[in-house]
Amino acid sequence: MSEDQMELDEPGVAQPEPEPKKRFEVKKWTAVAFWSWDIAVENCAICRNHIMEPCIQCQPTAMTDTDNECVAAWGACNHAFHLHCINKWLQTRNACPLDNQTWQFAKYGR
Amino acid sequence: MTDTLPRADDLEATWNFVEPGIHQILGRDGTASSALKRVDKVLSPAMYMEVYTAIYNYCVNKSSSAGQFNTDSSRQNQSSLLVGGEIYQKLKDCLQNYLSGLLRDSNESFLQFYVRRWKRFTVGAVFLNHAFDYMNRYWVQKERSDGKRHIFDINTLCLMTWKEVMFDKHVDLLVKEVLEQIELQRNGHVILQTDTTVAIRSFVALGIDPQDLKKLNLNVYIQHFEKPFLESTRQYYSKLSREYLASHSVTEYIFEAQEKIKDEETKIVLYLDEHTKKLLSEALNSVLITDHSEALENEFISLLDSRDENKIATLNSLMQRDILLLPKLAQAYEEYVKKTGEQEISRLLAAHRAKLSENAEENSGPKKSAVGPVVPPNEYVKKLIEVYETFIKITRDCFQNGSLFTKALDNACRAYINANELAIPPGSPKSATSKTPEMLAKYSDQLLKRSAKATEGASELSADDIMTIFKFLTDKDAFETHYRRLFARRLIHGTSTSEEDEEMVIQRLQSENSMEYTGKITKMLQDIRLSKQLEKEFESAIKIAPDYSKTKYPEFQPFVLAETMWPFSYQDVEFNLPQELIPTHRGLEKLYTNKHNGRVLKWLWPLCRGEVVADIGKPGKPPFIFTVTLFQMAILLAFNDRSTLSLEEIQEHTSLSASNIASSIIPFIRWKLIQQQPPGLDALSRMDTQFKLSTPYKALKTRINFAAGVKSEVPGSIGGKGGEPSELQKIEKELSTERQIFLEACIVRIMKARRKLPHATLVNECIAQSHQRFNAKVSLIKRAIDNMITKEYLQRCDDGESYEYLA
Repeated sequence: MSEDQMELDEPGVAQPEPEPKKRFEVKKWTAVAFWSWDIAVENCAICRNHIMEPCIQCQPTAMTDTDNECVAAWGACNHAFHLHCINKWLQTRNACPLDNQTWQFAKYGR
Repeated sequence: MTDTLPRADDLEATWNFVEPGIHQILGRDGTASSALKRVDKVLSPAMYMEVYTAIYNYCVNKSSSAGQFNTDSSRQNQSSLLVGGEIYQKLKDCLQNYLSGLLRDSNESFLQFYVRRWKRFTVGAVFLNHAFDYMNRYWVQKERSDGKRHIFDINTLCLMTWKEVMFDKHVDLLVKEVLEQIELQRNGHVILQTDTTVAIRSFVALGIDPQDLKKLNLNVYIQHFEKPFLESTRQYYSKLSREYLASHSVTEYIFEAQEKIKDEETKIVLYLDEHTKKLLSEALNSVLITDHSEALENEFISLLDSRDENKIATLNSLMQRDILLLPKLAQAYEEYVKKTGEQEISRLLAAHRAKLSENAEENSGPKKSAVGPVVPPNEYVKKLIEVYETFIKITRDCFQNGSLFTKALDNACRAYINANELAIPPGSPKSATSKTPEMLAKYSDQLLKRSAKATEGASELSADDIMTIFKFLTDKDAFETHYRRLFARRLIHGTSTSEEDEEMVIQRLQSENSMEYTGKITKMLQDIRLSKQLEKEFESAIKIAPDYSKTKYPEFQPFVLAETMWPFSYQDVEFNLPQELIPTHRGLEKLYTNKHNGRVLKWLWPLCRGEVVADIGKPGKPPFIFTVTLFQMAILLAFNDRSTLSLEEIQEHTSLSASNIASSIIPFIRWKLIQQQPPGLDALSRMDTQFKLSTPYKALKTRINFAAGVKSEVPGSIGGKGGEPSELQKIEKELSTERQIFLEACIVRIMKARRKLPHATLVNECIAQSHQRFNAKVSLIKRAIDNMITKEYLQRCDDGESYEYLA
């Protein structure tokens, strides 16, 4: 490696003498993670968009509107949809579109 | 003069009385100028009054038989009984006689004679007009209103008579002499300009319309003077330009022509009536410019080569005079700029190739000969800018930013910036995308990345340059993809110069293109801000934890990102998080899931990094600080208990694959932190290979970055860039799928609105809609249409060229 300008001494003879103080200590670390909804399905059954992406109504403005959050919502039946999608559906019928049971919100994504 | 006025009703007496006065007003028969002066003196106010009174008396006298003067007896009545016809006739004859009798001096040219007499005569005509004022007002006006258009007021009568006697008979000679004078002036001689002016003005003055005396018309001027004048001008300059070009260079001619045109339009034009001004310019343009347009156009290229702004501007100002020539010139300009841009880049490439082969010879290692020459992005972008700035200056200073030339410059820049030897190397397939977006993204990275090396070069880089080139990119989406990748690296590695700088560039990209364009980038920045917030929350949360200690909770910076916005892909990697990191990791996951209901986190271990304090130097020396990847960290931590580990043991500790261990450990070996036994690349993947930590470790620097040495994949040979092409291919593939989706969306959008559309129109609309992002190739659009037909969004119509939208 040409950019390596370090000068190193000849590697010395091994002196295995374990010290009480640890040789290596973590000073700090940086971790990267993706978040996703805790759902088995990939697509919202109502709008057919990926559940991690905005629902079909938010989609056109998703790239420009930075404040609006399009989250997922779970029913008691453990089915999940976009919150926007299921809310719209519930205006027509108060039942889960997939299993026809009376809808009850279990939790919303935040 | 007689003291007694003649009887008012006696025509002869009256005429005899006024005749001498008239002659005096006109200047008798005055042939010589000396006589003229004497006569002028003689015309006293008293005499003038007498003439006036006699004519007045004659005209108001109504006692003579009225029928004698007015033939139209039916309309005859007291009020219309006006007298004048006979004396008018006498005056007319008198004028004719007078003018025919004028003789020119032996030593004067006709022009001089004409002008001399004209000046005197026009003055006399005005006075005469006043003397006959009463007749003008009543008799002449009555006659004219009765439709007798051959009767004029006295001043006009004088002019008409002059035209008849002096002008019509001698016009050829007169015009010839005037043109001779003008030619003399053109040749640089001094002439009597007033004579020429007066003569030409007389042509205008003689343009009398018998129907409407108030309206001056230019018939006489145009017919007798303007035409021959323009003809002679053409002849003169066509001869002159031909001769000049035969003995001078085109460049000299440009200045000569400009000079001549300026002369004509400032000096000669003074003689002329307004009417000729435009015609003269046109004549000059056609003879001096249009006739030589070919020579001028040819010269244009060599003038551009010389970059001599004065010459280019002069040539342009000439060409501007004939707007028909401009498109051709602008086209030549466009070609020239394009070619120059391409040549400059080829030259830059050649220079780097030469340097490279020189180095290769010195090192006697022909390792890199297969890899194309690498021009640093900053040099490449700077060169593009340099060409652009050269010509934007010329466009501004020489072409006054004329719309044709601005457009030509734009087109040319778009051409050479997107396609040149470096952007699309010769021999690459037709579908190859330009490398310029990538180079520009790398340039942005150089600008925005904090690094020790940057200090020398960074000052020359600027966001303005990015924007300048960005405007011309055809594949803006490619730039976005590359930019986003580098931007992501800067964000998670914390290597941005500052958040303000990043935001400034994003802001400018956004205003140049659209909110949508920078949407993902903006969201990424937002993720980072949220993550910083999370970091703070986490920090304050762990500090109040009962089991808090610095070793248990090392400083921790989490990034929690929205998967779809970031150019990273999640891979399930086999990995045991080291014990030392587990508390922080668990703590954060707990905090996060409490805060965000229903979310789970997927950790991207290969992207994680950290810093390790390594107390392995000579005793008493300060400890080293190593920047390492998370995998490297896990490996190093394994050495806490022992100094020598086999590959198998490392794997037990970390669960990492052999290839991940190898790529992590290579930098350690290279910087002699770890010794490998037996050495060699092949041994790296053997389970029984031993790795021994060198203690005490000796290095000049206390801060060492091992993470930078990690290649994404284990290279086949050291120094090769095995990982890079696959990364590029990934980007390429991502781009083409994105384009496909974009085009399909376009097609549906268009067809939904229009229902039925011919193929060509649809393709054009698609191109127009995608213009902001990339240059849509027709083949790609065709493929998208086929796709939409298969998906039953569209169907072909029976006419064989249209599509119909299926709802």
